[in-house]
Amino acid sequence: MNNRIEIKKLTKHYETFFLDDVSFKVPKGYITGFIGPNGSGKTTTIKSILSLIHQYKGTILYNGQDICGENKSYVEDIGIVMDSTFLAKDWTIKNVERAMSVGYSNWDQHQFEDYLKVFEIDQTLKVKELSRGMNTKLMLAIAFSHQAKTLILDEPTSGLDPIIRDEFREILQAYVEDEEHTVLFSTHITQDLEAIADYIVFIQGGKIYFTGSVDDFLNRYVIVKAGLDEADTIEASAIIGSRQYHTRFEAMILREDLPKISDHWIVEKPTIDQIMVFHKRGNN
Amino acid sequence: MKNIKKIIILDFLAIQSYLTFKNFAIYFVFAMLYGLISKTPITVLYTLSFAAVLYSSYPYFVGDESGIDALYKIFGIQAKSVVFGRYIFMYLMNLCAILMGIIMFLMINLALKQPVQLEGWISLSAGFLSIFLVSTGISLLQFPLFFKFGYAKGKILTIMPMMLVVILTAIVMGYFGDYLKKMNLEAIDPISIISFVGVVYLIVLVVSIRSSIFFYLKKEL
Amino acid sequence: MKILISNHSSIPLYEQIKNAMREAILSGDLKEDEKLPSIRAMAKELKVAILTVKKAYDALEAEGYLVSRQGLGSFVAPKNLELEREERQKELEAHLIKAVSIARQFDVSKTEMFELLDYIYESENNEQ
Repeated sequence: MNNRIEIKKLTKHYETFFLDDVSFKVPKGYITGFIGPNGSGKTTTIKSILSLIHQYKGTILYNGQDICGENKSYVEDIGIVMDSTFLAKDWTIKNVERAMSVGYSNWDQHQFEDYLKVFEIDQTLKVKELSRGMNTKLMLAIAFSHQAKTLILDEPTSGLDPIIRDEFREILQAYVEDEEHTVLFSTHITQDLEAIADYIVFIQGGKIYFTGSVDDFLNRYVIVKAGLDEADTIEASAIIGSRQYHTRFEAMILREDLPKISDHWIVEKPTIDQIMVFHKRGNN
Repeated sequence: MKNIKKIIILDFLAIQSYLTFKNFAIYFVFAMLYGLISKTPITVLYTLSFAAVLYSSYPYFVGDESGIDALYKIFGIQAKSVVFGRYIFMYLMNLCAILMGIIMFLMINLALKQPVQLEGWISLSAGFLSIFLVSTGISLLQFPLFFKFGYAKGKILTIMPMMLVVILTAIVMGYFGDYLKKMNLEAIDPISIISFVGVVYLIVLVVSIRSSIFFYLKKEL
Repeated sequence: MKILISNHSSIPLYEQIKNAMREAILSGDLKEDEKLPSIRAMAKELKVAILTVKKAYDALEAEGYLVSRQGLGSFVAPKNLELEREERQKELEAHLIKAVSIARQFDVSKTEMFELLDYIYESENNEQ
């Protein structure tokens, strides 16, 4: 069994937004990046994986087992860092530690205290007194202290400075080094992913646009640039996203469509950010 | 069972910051003074049971404020266990309140030099029991609404069933008051009263737990 | 072993890693039969994705520089003189192509180039 998590045809309707036939896999032992603009369905998908949401169509497998049964003990195997904290605001870090030791059967107090030291978290502070970055670090410390085999991170780095983010990437790489530990990492800070992620799941407007290796993702598209006068020589159906400036025309197309443009256009490899931007922009 | 125990401890931890010595002291002093001044020591139990009802609802309050409901799910604890845990937690709170109340009741009696006679104890026990049933009964009405709507909304909505009970009682007393008086309640076999109250209470309990589970299972976070 | 990679280079990361490791093997920095760091340890060390390092290791294995032993990891392949010679020859050719292209820019004739080569060979012999 090589997939830690497998999602098949996940569909959920809200009034303002929906998840439409979302399917992807999170391979065991690797870091998978989950990308998409805000409001594209990342958090809803993650909440479904954690059974925080359970009224949906489709199937979610964790270690090959359908999670929809009554026994939810698989969640204990997952370390979670999310935007919203799950901790009572009036708890001190000490209270948090006590609650975790009750809730998690594999809780390791020493490990937790070590991480508090590494992350420089003051034990006497209350949860509500923590800054956003501190809060994320506390969640990370918790996630690493209950022998979780899987880490699910929802926008973990958005509150962190570049130094901590670098440290954080190192911690993740050390985490997956043993081929067993698995990471699903949702973010819109894509520099974090271009460096260390192995696989990418790209979601937009509740639909999956790409799943596969980061290399394949980056090689799938090219950015092409030309003068405005040549903008209409490329067939519109080939354009995924485009933009007109006063001085030039830029578009993103599939690499396989490269023969369709004249060979003096400038061709560039895109970044993850650019792929997301051009997808969102569309052709107009 | 293991998970129910977890929930009880976690709920206790969640509201721990509200269970301060200061808060207890206020209730204690207030209850003591009121009991002494009014010379009716049983009021101590009203005050403490009221506190128990209030504290039993705090886990929902904390749940509104921060995501402890999600936390329990993340611990892999099923909705059913959370519901059972909350009910047991509520009964424990009420038991503590009643026991504390009885101790304080005896202390006030000593202070007022009103020793309780043996026959007095029987009606007193009935009094203690009915206070316990009423205060836990209030929670039984509240809990399903808390599970469905959360604390803030649930709090407002719980007023409705309680008003209903009051209005019903008023109607019953208004229309059948005379009839009830004539019935000469003392003549009715106490066992049949007890079993009637017991059956009604049990029905409320079962309906309450079932609807709590039903609502909480549907809840998404 | 020295591996320097640039995130801003036009050469793909895996190729940069592959080239650096091949260089280390050819220069003797990595000895025959020496055990290499695991793919995951190397990824952590270089701060790149696991799949990127895997691609580099796979390519090196396909080209005969590495052998992987089931359950033990990757090792530097036994020295393959032919492979090494071929590699060096490629390098030599690349330099010569460059030299010739410079020569053409300045209209240096083929004969002049041969003279230059003779001269370089001679002077090196004299120095020794």
